[in-house]
Amino acid sequence: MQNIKTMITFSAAVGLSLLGAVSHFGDSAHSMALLSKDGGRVKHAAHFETGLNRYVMIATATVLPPYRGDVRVAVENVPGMAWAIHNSEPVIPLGLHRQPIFRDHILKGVQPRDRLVLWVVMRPDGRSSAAGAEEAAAAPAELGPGASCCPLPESVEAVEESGNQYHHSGGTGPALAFYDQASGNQVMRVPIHFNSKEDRAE
Amino acid sequence: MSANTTKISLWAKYRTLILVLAAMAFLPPLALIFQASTGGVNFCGEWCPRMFFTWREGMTTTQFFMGFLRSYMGVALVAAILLSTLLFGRYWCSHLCPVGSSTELGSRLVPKKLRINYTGISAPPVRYGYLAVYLLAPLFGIGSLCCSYCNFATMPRLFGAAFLEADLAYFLRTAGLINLGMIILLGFMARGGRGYCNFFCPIGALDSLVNRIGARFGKRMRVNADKCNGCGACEKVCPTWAIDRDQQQATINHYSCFPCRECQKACPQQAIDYR
Repeated sequence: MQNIKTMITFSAAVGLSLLGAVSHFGDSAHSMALLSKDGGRVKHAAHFETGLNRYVMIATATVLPPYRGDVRVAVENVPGMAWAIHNSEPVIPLGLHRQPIFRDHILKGVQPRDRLVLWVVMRPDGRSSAAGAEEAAAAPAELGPGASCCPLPESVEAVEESGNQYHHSGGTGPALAFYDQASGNQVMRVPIHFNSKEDRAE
Repeated sequence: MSANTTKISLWAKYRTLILVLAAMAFLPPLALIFQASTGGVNFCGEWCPRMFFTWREGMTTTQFFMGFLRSYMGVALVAAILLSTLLFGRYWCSHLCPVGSSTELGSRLVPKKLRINYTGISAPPVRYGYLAVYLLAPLFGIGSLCCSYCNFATMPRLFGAAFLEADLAYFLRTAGLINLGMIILLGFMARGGRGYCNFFCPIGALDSLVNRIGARFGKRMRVNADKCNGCGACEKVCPTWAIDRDQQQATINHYSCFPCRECQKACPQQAIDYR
């Protein structure tokens, strides 16, 4: 009797775990990429499901030598969405290791072999999930350490119009784009795909 | 009392303090261990203890071992955990793990009436059913339980969310909310605070297997059959429901036991000790 009970419990656990393993949630995605001075390389892009009211992208990247510098980060070509980018950093920095600091959309002091972890929150309704887009547009620096928020720059052209010259190196779809602040060259571009549930299932 | 016994009893006497210190060392706002070692802020990346031992469909041997290099601190941590468990029992789980520490300490703050009693569910079959899927689902390309349901990702961010929007963003997703729900229902709300550890922690599952293997020669919590009168006091306080009574004698299941010493403290006959 005990063995039967154990087998039933084990089978139920396997079934529940399988259900968890096959479940994909279209509101979050993890992208992995390499940042380099010649435009970087994407290991895998971010894939989301259309029609949801919030998207969270975890963008991790490793910096390839010899690149070093300040990197401007922006979400591009996502019309109708407000977005916010947050850096994963210590709450209380002890200063034991140098780390890039993310302020006003710029990762400052990026060096070879740095591991970058950015959280991008996008909302279709025009408001940032972390803070209102209006607040963000008015005072992005007040969002707190590691946060940056922008009011819908729908394309790189919009960024360029703001006074900075950034050199777009291909790709017109939604993307998380990284530009070297000094030269304006693109150092990484992570595509963001929005697919219907049916497309995702295929 | 021998010197050895006195020394070991400190683990029991100061266990709550050790749990608090362990949580503080690993979790925000300080995340001291990570900041002092790799400069990271949590268990992700170099410190990931969960992913390197899973073989994903289509992976080459080189890619598999590259995972070891990428998570070298996590590999070192898991190796140290398993080796120490083999010889001395699951001290990582009982005293040092910041996830288990947090849920156990948190559960003590929950009124007893609200705590959920999972002791009716036998933990080992659940744990190894989960572990089997954890290892085999990525191997056959069915899916993955690695990152989506990660206790080591959730707990640091739960503490960090009060301070950092990056950590808060973790919970603004369906997967983040499921993780939060699991940590709350199986951890903070569980009697003993160790439901998550006992059911769904892959490190705990590997550790408990090693614990059982090492029980033949390593130090473990053991019952002195001559002293035990089968009163059941130990059974009631065991956070991992590892104690059963068989013919009016307490028996310890080493697939689930860790040396928290709660049973030793509760035993009126001093029939349980660590040897």
